[in-house]
Amino acid sequence: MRKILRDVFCAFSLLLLCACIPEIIPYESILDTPLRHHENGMKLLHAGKIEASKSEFNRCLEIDREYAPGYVGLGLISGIKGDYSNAMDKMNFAGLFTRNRHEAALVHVGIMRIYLMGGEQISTDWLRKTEEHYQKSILLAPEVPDAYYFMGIAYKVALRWDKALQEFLHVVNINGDFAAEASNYISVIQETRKHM
Amino acid sequence: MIKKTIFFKKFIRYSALIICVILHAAFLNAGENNDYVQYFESGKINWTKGILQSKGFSSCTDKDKINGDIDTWVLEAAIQKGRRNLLKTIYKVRIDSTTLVEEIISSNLDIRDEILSMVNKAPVIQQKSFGDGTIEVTLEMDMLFAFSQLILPEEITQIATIKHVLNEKRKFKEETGSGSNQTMIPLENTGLVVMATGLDVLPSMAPKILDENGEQVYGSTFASRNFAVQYGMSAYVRDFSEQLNNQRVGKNPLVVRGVRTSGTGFSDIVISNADSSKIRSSSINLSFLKKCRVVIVLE
Repeated sequence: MRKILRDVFCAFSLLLLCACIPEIIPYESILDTPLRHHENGMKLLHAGKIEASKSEFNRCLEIDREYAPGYVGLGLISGIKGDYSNAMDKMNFAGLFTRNRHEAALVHVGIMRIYLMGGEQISTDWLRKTEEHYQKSILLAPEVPDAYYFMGIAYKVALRWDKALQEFLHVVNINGDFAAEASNYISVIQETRKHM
Repeated sequence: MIKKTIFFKKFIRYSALIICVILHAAFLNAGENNDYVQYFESGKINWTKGILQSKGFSSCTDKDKINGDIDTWVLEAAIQKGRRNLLKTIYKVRIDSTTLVEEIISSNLDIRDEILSMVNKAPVIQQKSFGDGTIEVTLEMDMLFAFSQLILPEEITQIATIKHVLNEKRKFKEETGSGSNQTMIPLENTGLVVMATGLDVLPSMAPKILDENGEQVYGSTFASRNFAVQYGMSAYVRDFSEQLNNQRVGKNPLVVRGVRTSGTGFSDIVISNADSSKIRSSSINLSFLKKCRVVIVLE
């Protein structure tokens, strides 16, 4: 009887000891997330560091192969390089993987940006197609300033000053991303119109 | 009495309608009855015809906010959903006993992009509009040709022409011209049919037929790539009927019985050593294996 009690006590002690072992948490850096790599990629892209941004977007897709903004980033790089067909392919891939209305809206903004880059090289009807994607984007996420901003730029390129001004004012009112740039454009357009 | 007559008339009318619907459905499905189809939440894989199909639905909830053709918007959204489902179905295609397409896509960026391009180009084969503004589309993608070329293992290569070695008896008959047209020499086999019902085989794009010692009787080293790409390494059917499968395995196929599956993926089939020696007995058999004239019968 004593022997049994001793064995039970030993087993119980062992279990208590095991309970004290710290839980092993797999290492996961907070910097190594698709979101962070996408943000870095966009910053590098706007700074003109294309290859560095490409590796950031590729890393996004290595971590999560269905991360739509990663494809949008790669599409923008192809657009900058002048490969508009590949750029559109990448945007279409992104469209397959959108997980919410915000991501879907950003895909439409991506397509708008490709039309803006390629203009008539992609389609003679590029402005109307940009408008189509703009409408889809603001329907999906009216709070995202990106669509208004790039539509404003598209109107500016097409010399439709009134419409451009309206879009840039919208961006300033949202007071999020691109607010400073939109404000600058408003000043530029107003200056230009004074001299016209 | 009048009530009874009205009830009877209604009963007849509804019964006729139900019978018509059942007959129509049976007629529509008649062509697919023999096909081996795997169903998933995202779509289906028809292993007999080598096609993938998925559906996408969409309806419009923000009608007032849209400036433009609402139907076009809803249709585009339905197609997009259909494409997503098609991609999810593609992920589930088994390449061989150990690999799914999903695993290849994860590891190879070029293949992933090619497949995504194919998905984006997949045609809409059916479109249904419902009264409430909902649109349903069915998209289809071929598993043969471009998809097969991309996915089939590299070890499936082009095989040069196989020279036939006639057996002595046949050679003698042909040389001497002796014997009538109805000779006693058995006819040459024109294809291979593997009866694998009841084995819970999972279909794959590159299945292997093994003997009981684990030696390959048919697989990637036997099939020629151009045939595998065009016709698939084997066709899977539910029921073997000569009329339907003549085109694939010819008029005189060698029929063998699967004993069990091999490996973890349940797509490789083991046949008896006696059957495997029948297949290996003639160079002519190697020739039809090269041309992928193989049909696997599943339940």
